[in-house]
Amino acid sequence: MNANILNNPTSLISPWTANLDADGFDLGDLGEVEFRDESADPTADGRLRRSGDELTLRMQDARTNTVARPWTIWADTTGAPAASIGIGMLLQAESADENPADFGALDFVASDIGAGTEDTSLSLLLRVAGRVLDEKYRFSSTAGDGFAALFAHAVTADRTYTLPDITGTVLVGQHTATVVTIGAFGAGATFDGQSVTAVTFPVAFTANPTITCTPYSSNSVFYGTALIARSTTGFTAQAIGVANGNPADEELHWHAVLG
Amino acid sequence: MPITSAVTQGLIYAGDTPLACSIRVEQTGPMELTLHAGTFTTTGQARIRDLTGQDAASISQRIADGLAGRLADGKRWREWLTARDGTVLRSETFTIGTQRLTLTSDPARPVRYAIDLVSVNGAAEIRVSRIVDGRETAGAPPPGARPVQHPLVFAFMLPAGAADLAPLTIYTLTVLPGFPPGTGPEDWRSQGGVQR
Repeated sequence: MNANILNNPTSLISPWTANLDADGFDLGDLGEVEFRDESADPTADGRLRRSGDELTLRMQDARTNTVARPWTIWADTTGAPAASIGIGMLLQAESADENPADFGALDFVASDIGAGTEDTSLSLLLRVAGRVLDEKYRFSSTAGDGFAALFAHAVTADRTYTLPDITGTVLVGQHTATVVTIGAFGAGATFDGQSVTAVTFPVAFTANPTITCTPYSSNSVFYGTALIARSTTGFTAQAIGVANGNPADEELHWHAVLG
Repeated sequence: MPITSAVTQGLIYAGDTPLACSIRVEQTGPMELTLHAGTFTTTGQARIRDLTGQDAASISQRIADGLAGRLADGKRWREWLTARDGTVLRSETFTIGTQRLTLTSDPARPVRYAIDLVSVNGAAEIRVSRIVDGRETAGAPPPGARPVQHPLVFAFMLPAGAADLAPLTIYTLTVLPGFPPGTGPEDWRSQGGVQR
């Protein structure tokens, strides 16, 4: 009997007929925990309770304007952390032939795990056409402390924003452009599909910038630009849609910004 | 003055990049340009970070591994970006010997000339482009040639029948260190201009 009590203290209370204060007693080697439907939320700080189809953890503190994080998931490693290590959450429901069926996952992944240089990103994984979960969106940032990108909208109907399958940078906002007037270039030349001479930036960029290029014609002859070849030091634009023999004194308004 | 540089036409400050060019272009004959021996260092592509709060040992290791470098101000460092194929987009330096180039005009049509520095299997070569009526007449570039970031001599038009380069204005690349006087990095994240 003594051995049985030491090995199984709950044998003293079978079945439970009143609330049990474990007083810091740890429960280990549990198989499965079932919550009955109390149809009510937790009654106090630090409690977990089922109400209908929701399991609620309640953590109460005295904050007024800060964000609480009542739930922490910690997944460390016995190995040596390296780039691509991460922590995530898998969400499952049910489909016609899968139960459980993976519906989505959120992964936080490090591209840099160096001391004091950690960089992480958020990956959103979705399924397409019955295939397994796959990363479809990734959010990352190199911004300094205290700066966030705020995405907001004021649509009055459903809107779909489709991104084209090309490389590039979405340029938003306005920037002050410095207008520099220079002498004519390519004197005697015509555009007519020719590359205009290369433009050098006043100051080299540390990475390839995004460039917008707007042609301006003083004699109302329409033309456009395409094929902007760019580098960190300058760019070359290809003029299009110009009639042969157009004079070379047209203008090209350009703007470059480091994303 | 035939050989010159101007803002947006060859004159560029290196800013926070290792960009440098000691190759000097000179007219040494009526229709001859000489590119004097020198080096060209590309900018590479990098992300600039503050040193504040960074682990010195980690940064030193990255520098030793060729993945980063310190900036001259001692307060920031650059971390080289990588291309999709994993190539580290670090700065490169190319060296050329002195080369004399003879230009030829067309008796009836203008000729468009440009002189670029190209890399062929890692070695620097001078590439002359000569376009008449929209067609390249200087021959195809060697296999594997890739342009090294920017022209040395910017495209200019040689009038039909020209026999002397002196009357022309030919823009060449001139690199100055740092930033324009009185300015710093934040003044140049956005740049614009009007080209005529």
